[in-house]
Amino acid sequence: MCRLKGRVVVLAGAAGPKGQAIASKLLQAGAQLAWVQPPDRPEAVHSGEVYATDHLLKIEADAQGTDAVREILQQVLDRFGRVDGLIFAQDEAERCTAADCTDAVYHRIMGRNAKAAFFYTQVFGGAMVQAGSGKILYIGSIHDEKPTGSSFVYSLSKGALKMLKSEAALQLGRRGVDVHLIAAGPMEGDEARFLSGLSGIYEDAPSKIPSRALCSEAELAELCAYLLIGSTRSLNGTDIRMDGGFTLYYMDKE
Amino acid sequence: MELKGKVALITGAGKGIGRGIALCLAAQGAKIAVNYHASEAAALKTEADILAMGAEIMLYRADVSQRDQVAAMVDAVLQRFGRVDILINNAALQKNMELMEYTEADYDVIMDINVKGYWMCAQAVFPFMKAQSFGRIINISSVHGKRPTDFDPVYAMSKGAVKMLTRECAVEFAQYGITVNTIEPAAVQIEFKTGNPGPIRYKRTEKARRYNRYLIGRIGVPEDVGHLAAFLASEKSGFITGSAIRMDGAAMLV
Repeated sequence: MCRLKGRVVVLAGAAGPKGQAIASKLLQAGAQLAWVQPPDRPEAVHSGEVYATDHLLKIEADAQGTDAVREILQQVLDRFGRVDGLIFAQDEAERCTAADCTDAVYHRIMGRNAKAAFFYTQVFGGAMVQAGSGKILYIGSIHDEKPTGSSFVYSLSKGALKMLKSEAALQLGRRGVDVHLIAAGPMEGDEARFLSGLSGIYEDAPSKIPSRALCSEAELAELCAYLLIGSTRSLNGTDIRMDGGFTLYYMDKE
Repeated sequence: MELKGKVALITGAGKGIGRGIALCLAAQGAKIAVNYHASEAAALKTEADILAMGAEIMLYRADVSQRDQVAAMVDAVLQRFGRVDILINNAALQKNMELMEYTEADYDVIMDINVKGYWMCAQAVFPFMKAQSFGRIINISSVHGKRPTDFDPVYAMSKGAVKMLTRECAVEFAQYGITVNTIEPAAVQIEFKTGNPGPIRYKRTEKARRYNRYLIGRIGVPEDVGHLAAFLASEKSGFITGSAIRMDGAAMLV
């Protein structure tokens, strides 16, 4: 059922299987999709026959300021004429500690995960306010509360994103734009990204989830579609933790 | 005199909350290094007051958003006092600008001082604390690390990042006898206001809004923060790390 028919959604980031799942779900639901990826993350943008559709606009950009994001907005408006939803899913991570992290790593991760989120919110939120309605959805992380013990700057960026969500929910929510955050839990590949010698949570991560299954990209995509499709005014400002119970874990049980 | 023999570096301590912390730590016997940036006159007054208490103090002017200045500052503290036991990350900026008003330059200066500055100072003192198997890092944050401001989204984002900075550093530094905690003050009566107060655009009521939720009957004073900081800086707080203590007279509960 094409419940997003006529709606234009911007997907910023979301590389690999996560992005493919979200993009596929939105396109199947009838959305017109503008998918923005930094130039050094081309694999999802350029992959697959799934995306051979005139409902898809691919944009390569690493936008972290008002002017750069406005250029993206203009491309979206030139192609589709409107924007109804923004999914901000940029998710850079690199293993580093507070003691050994460099300025270059700090700025790259904070820039893509937090600063870009702010200016996408400013520009696309502003466009939706002018239109009278819209939805903003941040794909965040459980590490906006739970430290990684391995990827110090990643957590900082997600903590900042969580507060952006709350601020935007107030300032944009008054003007017809709903704002949500999905705090996503461990998915395929996260064990390698976050395995820590300090925190044991990613050692055999599935064993720490009641269902013994990592979170699935397909479920994430379903949730994104739900939040974009339905009336979600009562969910404005919400954090939805999507981790299968992972962050409830603290002791091993059979 | 719980802090006798300890050396404390306090950033942004020429005035306001930082000054209050400096006075309290000095009263507990600590040797004090006061960092300031723009407020030399206020820093000199703080110096005079601490000297009058019979305590030792040095002043050091540095911009905490600049790595070379942070390194030089820590080096100067070590040159003067031979060690550093306590770091109070307090220097922060608040512009009180709304989502649509922020420029990239405004965003950067807030995040570079409020987040990167805190991180760089912690990174700079860590080797010395590690070598002595003792350290106390206290990050002065805000209730707006969890509750949105509704008037300054980037300030809130910076405090959301500081929340995770504390947790990540606590996990990483614990094995070396270094604790890392956050104090989250609400309104504190200080002698100046940072940033641009601006009009309150979403005023719900004409009655005095600001302090009617402080059930305890007053807003905070710098010494309130100072007393808690003095405890967290002491050896008696050694089992408290990674925590955040909200200091708001119950205002956030109502």
